[in-house]
Amino acid sequence: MTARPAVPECSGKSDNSAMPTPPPIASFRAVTKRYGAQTVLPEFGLDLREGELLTLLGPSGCGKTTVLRLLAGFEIPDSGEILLDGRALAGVPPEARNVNTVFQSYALFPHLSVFENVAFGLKMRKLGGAEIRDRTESALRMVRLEGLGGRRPLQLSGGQQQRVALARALVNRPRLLLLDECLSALDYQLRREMQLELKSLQRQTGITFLFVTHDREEALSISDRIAVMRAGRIEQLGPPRDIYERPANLFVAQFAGESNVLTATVTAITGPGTLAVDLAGKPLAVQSGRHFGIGAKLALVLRPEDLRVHDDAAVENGLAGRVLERTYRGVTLDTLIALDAGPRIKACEFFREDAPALDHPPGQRVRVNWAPGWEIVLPHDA
Amino acid sequence: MTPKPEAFKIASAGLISGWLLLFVLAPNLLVAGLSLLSRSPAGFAGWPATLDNYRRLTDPVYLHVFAESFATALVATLLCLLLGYPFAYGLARARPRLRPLLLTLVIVPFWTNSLARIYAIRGLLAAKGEVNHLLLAAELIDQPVRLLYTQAAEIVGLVYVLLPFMILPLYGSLEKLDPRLLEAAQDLGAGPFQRFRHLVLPLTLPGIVAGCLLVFLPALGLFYVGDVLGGSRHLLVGNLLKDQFLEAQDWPFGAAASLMLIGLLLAFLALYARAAKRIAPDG
Repeated sequence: MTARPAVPECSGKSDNSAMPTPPPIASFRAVTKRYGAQTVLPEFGLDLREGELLTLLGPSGCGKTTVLRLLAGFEIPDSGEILLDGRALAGVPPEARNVNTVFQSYALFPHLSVFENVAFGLKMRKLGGAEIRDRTESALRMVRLEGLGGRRPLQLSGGQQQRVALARALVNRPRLLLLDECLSALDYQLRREMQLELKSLQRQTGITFLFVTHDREEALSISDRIAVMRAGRIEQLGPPRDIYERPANLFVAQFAGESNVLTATVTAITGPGTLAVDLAGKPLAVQSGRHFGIGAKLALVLRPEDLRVHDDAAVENGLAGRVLERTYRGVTLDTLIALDAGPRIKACEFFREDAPALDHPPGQRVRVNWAPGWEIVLPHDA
Repeated sequence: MTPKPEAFKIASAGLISGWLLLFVLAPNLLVAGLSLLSRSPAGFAGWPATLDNYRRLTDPVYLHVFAESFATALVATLLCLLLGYPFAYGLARARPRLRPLLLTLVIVPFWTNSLARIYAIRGLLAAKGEVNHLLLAAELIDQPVRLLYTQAAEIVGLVYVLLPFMILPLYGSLEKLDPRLLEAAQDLGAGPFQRFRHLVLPLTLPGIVAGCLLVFLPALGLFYVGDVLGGSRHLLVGNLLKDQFLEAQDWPFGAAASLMLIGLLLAFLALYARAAKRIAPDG
């Protein structure tokens, strides 16, 4: 396997623990959904664990929003079943499901005050006036909007509207909170803040969150587990680190992070998990847990931040090339290199005190290498 | 920096302002002035200036006409609302390709003069008209019933003529209703009735008020509906106005009565502005 340094799991959850796993809070069992002739979800399966923040990550049109709408009850599956707390949801209308949604458009009620918006769900359940007031006020406090209850949604900023939408859903203490690309309308800075806030709200309340996004950074930074989706199927399901460092295939590798993809051919199997490959005429040793036959084509995925660029003369190993472009980005210096082997690759290096020779002007001959084993080796046609 | 757009702006604004001054403000000021004059046997009005015309509006004879006319108009308005709301709702939810056709069906009756259509209704409701024929044929009645020259006939006529004026503004506000808001309400536990009461109704209130405005005020004034279907027994305010100007030749009193209607219109417009403001506080 890879030789990356081990990082202790922060949550203590592990996919292959020997402990009996508690029953899932919600499950999709072979759920198929079609729109006309188009099958959006073919036999989709997914289990949500109690208290986790699971993210559906995928390009637009991959079916991730359909998964949310099926769970909320706005869409009916063509076949298969959806369970919440072990009970089938078929025939249960959205208003009777103990599930709430934070919509992409927020869908705040324009004619009601912020307070009335947040209190809406409790009022529909005909709770007592005092309980409605207490719970609404504490929900507004939780999203730091105390004192703004009298405003109309349109008088609030985008970030504040987002918080109202969150409070309006959380105040009902749903079993499951569905979040549909709900941060995508915010600007970068605010989005980063809200990501942290979402995560802390999730920990505070202990409510299971199912979050949908196409933003990989967002998915990697807030999720307990990520399901990477393509064309209605889950390509890989696992903790963020697995998704990023041990992608199941080329699609996941490329969707989860910036990638340099090189094509190589296996020339020899040199040991358990080590291969000799040929990269456009240049021999290279790589590590992989997968089995490849001799002559098999494979994809070598290299993350830009794993690459080191050296002066041509300074090192012996590595791929030779010529610097095309440099981009100064403050924290990092990005270098675009045309390899002699053909493809272009991007390296993204952090400034360090001990690496004064980081800056390589365009046109300079360089060599690119990386810590052995940090390459991701995948079947080529994945 | 070309002077042209500026000149165009002044010209167009001037044209509209001039038009409004000449054909809207001036006549209304004339009517307002007229309402403060006395009836003159020589001409149509003369000195001295007086408030008598307004005092006469409170005469029990006229108050009775107003009360009856208001009641008729109110019932017609409510009927239009009850019939128009489901229709407009269906229209707003119909497939986009079907909507222009359905809208045309609402508007087609405008192509025929409404007086002609009122006479057609009179034919239907007459003692030997189609409605009585049908009722007789269905053996619901043994002999023709009196339909014409009743308040009910008047209301049928008003609803028939004015229904499109209710449907169009309702359609306008129902069509703007964001279906995502209804989904959000459903997600928060609101059943069909609660969604209607807490979202659809308040969010379409401007359309409801506008539609009621467009039906109620004309319903007070459509004197020919009163004449043709109500006989002379059930007067509308419009009949009163017409009679003052054309029969009784009492222009100052007619002017006072019509100013009262204008005052009513302004009150309704204020109500409408308030309803619209509730929904969009910023504009």
